[in-house]
Amino acid sequence: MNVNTIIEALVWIISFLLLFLFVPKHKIRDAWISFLFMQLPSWILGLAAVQFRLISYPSRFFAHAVQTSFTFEFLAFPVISVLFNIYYPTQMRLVWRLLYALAFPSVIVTIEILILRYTDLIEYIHWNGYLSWISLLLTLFLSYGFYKWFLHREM
Amino acid sequence: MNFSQNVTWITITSIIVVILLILIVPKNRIREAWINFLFFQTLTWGTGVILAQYHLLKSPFRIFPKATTQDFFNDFTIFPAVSVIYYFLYPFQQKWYIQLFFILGSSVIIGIYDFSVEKFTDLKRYIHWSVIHQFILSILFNLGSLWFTVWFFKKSKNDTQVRS
Repeated sequence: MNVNTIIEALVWIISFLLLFLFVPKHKIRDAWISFLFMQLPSWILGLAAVQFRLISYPSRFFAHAVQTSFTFEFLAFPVISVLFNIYYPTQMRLVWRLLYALAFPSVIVTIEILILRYTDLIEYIHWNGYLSWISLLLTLFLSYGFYKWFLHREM
Repeated sequence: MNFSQNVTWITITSIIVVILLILIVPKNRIREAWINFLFFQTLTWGTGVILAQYHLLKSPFRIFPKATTQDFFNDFTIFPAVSVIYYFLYPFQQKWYIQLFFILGSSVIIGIYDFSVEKFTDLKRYIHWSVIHQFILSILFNLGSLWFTVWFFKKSKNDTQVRS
């Protein structure tokens, strides 16, 4: 096994650990809503990014079936969205909510850039970290909006 | 098979399914439709990747050809939408043999649809696959999605109340 496979496998383990550790039992439905919804934009945008040669994933699971990152789009990013939605500080002041929201894409992009530099799991073609940051932020808010809509009839 | 035939198939199928959804899904139960639709997509995405990876199925004519070898159109729009229709038509209150008849009958219809896709379009080619596999898979997936949706909206004391 090479380093790419090990890291991708670690992402699976960490994602499940995050779910088990940070999703309380009474929030399991909230988690499902966020997880299932986030797969939709994550997957379609992921496909588009590969189709239009913006990003490529030289080393990946299910390499014959998909040219996209199944691990990130199917599991890791939806899990991040679950945490984002469950812990969103609705009661706090705007500045804290803003910091909370900006922290998520910042941490993810930092990890992505490390993975970009040290592994073959991702490769930017016509892409950069800023675009990642913005698209992560927008999709996280999209998923949060859906989650809010789902739980309350009026937002 | 040429391009326009595939596109015609996609267009006509989409129109029929959208009309059915509008007719069958009650406006105040749209959340149940969402959960069913999204859960079914997760099932088809996960298994579709495995089926394509191990050369059981292929999809010569597809959306995003450089990014995936899966049949995007059927697996991610039509079959999940059909699962929603299935959920709303399911005879929950009826006797067991009527439910069984519904389960088998609807999967036969889905099987016939899938077989026609294979026959008349380039959207799907069976390699190590048959309409029987499709039939079994569609029973499992539709029932799985149905059970998940029922569980999701089941009233429970401790869990978050999700109003349907």
